[in-house]
Amino acid sequence: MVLPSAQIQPPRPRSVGLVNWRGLWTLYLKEVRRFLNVFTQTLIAPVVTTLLFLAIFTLALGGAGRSLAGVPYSVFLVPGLIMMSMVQNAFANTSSSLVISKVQGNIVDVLMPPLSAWELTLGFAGGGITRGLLVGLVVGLAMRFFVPYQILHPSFVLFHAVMAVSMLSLLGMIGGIWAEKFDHIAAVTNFVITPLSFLSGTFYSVDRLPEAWHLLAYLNPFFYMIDGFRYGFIGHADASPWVGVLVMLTIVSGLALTAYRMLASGYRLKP
Amino acid sequence: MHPLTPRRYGAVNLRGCWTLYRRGMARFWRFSWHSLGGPLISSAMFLAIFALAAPQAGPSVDGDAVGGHAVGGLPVMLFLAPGVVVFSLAISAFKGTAVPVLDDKLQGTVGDFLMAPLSPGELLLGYVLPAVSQAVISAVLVAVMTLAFVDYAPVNLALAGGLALCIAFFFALLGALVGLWADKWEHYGAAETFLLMPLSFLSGSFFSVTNLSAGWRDLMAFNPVFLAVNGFRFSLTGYAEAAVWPAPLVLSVLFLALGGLLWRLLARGYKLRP
Repeated sequence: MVLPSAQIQPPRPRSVGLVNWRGLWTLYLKEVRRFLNVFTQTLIAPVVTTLLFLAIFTLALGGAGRSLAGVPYSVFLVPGLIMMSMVQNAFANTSSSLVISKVQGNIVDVLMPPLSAWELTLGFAGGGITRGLLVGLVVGLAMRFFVPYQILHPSFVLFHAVMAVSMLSLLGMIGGIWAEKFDHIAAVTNFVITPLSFLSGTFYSVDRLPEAWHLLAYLNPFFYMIDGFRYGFIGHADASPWVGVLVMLTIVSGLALTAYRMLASGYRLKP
Repeated sequence: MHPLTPRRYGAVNLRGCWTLYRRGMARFWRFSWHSLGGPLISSAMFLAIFALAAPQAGPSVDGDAVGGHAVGGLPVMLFLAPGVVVFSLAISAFKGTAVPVLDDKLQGTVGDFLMAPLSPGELLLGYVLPAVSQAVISAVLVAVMTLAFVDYAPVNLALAGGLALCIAFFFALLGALVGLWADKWEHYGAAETFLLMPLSFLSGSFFSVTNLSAGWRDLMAFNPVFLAVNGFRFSLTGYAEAAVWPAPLVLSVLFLALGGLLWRLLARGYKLRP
């Protein structure tokens, strides 16, 4: 007997078209589920920490009806604290995901499938962006119980929230790809990201900095995202809000391109 | 031929204790870049932020003294500096036991200590003493750093040292308890978020209890960490917001209670032996 071999078709690769939507969506879901799985650490913990900061700063420095930039000090603090928690979590999500995958070796699981460098960039960054925005939302809602803040320009709030978490997600990816062990990424978090998110006007107006530091403050992208975000809440900004928009757009595109180039070239990912 | 006889030791296995201590310190020095640099940076950051965020010096509308914002009865920097020292002391001591205990449990290396001829008390000392040592090293570094911001007017350095040790032991024991209780890193994370952070942030390290409402202030009098912070600040600046004498007393009682509890748990093999 002869097998009708002519009729047996070998399995064909799934045709994915221009963009591998299903692959992108799968990677994104994996990234989101990764942090939702431990939501006490990734969503609740930032809320607790941020509320503690709100409490100690209001108690220590907000006494006697103190106001800053025309609003009570606690209202001045809210946007800065929300932004701080958003960016720290966005960075933590992408950087930890990549470093853990690299150290454990399961990074091959995302490098083998038919995912282009752009799809990888979007999938990883999407996870960080989602976590950052979710944290911001939860922190903002929690703070509403203690501080009666308002949002004057919702479009600015939304724009800077999305831009800031995108920027830090991409930075986290770049850091995660660069880092060879946990120590490296911990050093970046401890010595770069945390100081920048604390010292860029979260708790004070940069006018308070000594003269010599002004130029440095205006070269710091973290300053623009906090300043612009706060402008959306209280209608007061230290720098021109439109300059901030431009700075953020430029930086996010630059970082996206860098992350894409790193993934496309296989830098520290492929032998 | 004589068979090998077991090494004899007296009432306390000092060499075993010392070995465990050296192991803990070796682990600490391996990551000293982070474990010392991290608290140093964050303490300097806290001081810088408060210096910048405090209401401006000079005559002001809301009645601040000329020459800077005052917290309680002290200039803001002088009020905060002892606070950040205690803060880094507490965090280092807590992590100094919680992380190694949990790490040893998860990696299975506890077996090596449970097999060795070490009594529960010796085991406890072997974990707690390295944590206390590294917390003290870290706090001394932070204290030296704060000298760049403030001039202390020490009242009683012995009291400062004693209270610092009490705080370090208290948090190291607390950390050991958490490390023993936790089954995975998520548990440790939860303890850090819901126990360590509130306890260290809300104990008057960074704000004056005179800013609290009367009810909260009364509640704070029962917070042992607040008593310790308050006593420590008093010994360095002469300013106190509550009576100082209960602090050593309360901390000693807590220290003994926690130590006793841990000794019992180790003796029973809680979460260590099948």
